[in-house]
Amino acid sequence: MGAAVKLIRDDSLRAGQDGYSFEVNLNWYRSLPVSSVDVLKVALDDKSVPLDQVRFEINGHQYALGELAERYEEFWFVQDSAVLKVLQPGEVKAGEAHRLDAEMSLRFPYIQIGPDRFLTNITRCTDTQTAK
Amino acid sequence: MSNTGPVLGITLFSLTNEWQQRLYTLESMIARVAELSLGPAIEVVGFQSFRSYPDIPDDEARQFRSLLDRYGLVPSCLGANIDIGRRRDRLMTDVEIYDYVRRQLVSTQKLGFPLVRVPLSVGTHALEKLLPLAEQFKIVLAVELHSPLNAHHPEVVAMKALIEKLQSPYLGFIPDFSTTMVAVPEGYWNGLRRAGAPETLIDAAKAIWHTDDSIPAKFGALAEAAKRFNVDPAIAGQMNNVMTMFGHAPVENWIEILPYARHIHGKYYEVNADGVEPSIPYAEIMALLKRQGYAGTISAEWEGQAFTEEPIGFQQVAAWNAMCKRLLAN
Repeated sequence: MGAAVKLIRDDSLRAGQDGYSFEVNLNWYRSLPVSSVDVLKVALDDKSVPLDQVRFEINGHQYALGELAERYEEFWFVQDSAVLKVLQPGEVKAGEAHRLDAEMSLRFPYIQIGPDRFLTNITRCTDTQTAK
Repeated sequence: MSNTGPVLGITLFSLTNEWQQRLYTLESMIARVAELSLGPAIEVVGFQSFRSYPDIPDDEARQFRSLLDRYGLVPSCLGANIDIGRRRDRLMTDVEIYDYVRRQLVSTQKLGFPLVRVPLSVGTHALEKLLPLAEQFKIVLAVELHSPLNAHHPEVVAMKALIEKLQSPYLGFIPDFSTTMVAVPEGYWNGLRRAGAPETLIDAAKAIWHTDDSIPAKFGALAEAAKRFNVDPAIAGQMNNVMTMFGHAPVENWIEILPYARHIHGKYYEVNADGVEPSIPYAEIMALLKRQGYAGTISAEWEGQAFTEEPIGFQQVAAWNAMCKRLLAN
């Protein structure tokens, strides 16, 4: 259920001063606490990005991936996209086409399937986009 | 109960594909529901439809109420959730569960819903503690009975005993038709076929689903069948879902629950071109509801988005609505 949208949002690749960014959609029917999100992989042109260079932006806040677990009182709304920002200046320039890979897991904190286990979905997506 | 019969309506959950694909705002979606006469009863999943949930500001709540008024729709049920695993280091405590539901109860009242759906995981302890607040707000706390929680499940029996003991009009159940199915939806098998499950294994799984064995016994039988047909254990693992998500209890089991039913989830996966849901015995269920004098609300709860990303929610709810009206008129 809930796979009605692509993980990587169409036409969302942006080149910036301090790196590049693209948007991801929430692949679930309801909003989830930000603590439910794990970004497992980001790659540009088949080259993996070290995850400590990735930031997750939601509701106007920016987090390092390790900070997401603490954000259990903040929600990612179904109709909002989150921004994955990669702090690698110069890798992506406006007008260039690049191949993006992303992998994200969502742990559904209200669907318990064992003493300490919750139903978890992993979504992957590959998309080639021209940066703006 | 009076003999006016059930009141039909919709949960906006049925329009999940449209919502996720951002084809509608809450306002345009409700307008379309009214235009297609899919009400009058409107159910909403709090965490799906409101960005500010679980703490809805007063002015946003007022806007929502006036939106329903404008279109002549009535609020039936707000779906609450308990994110018991929201922290990664530990589960919510009973006190935290109480507080999480309390916040959603406040929003339920502001939005004008007469009833809030709570999952059985609320537990008898927190539910009993929440009751005085619900009574003060005049909001019914209703525990959802989704498969595998049929009328004879031990936790349901315990919850029913509590409801009988407390004798409050503000406590009850929401039966969900997922517990009384006659077949697993074909869309589910098609998904497994695409994942690589062979026909032999699907036939075996269908036979296992139809038995009255316990769920762990069914898991065991599935694993054995997967081994026998030499199938990837991951696919067999996926099939375990089928045994819990869809129940095949007899429709008559609802008789003992109906006195406490305050709202109903009209679960379905597909109403086909003949106006029939092949996996849920709607004719039998609607006849039972009429016979028992159920006069509460029923939401069309289309869960076919599990099998398709096509935005066909409105079409499917219209088909459900026509089917139920036809059956209730008999």
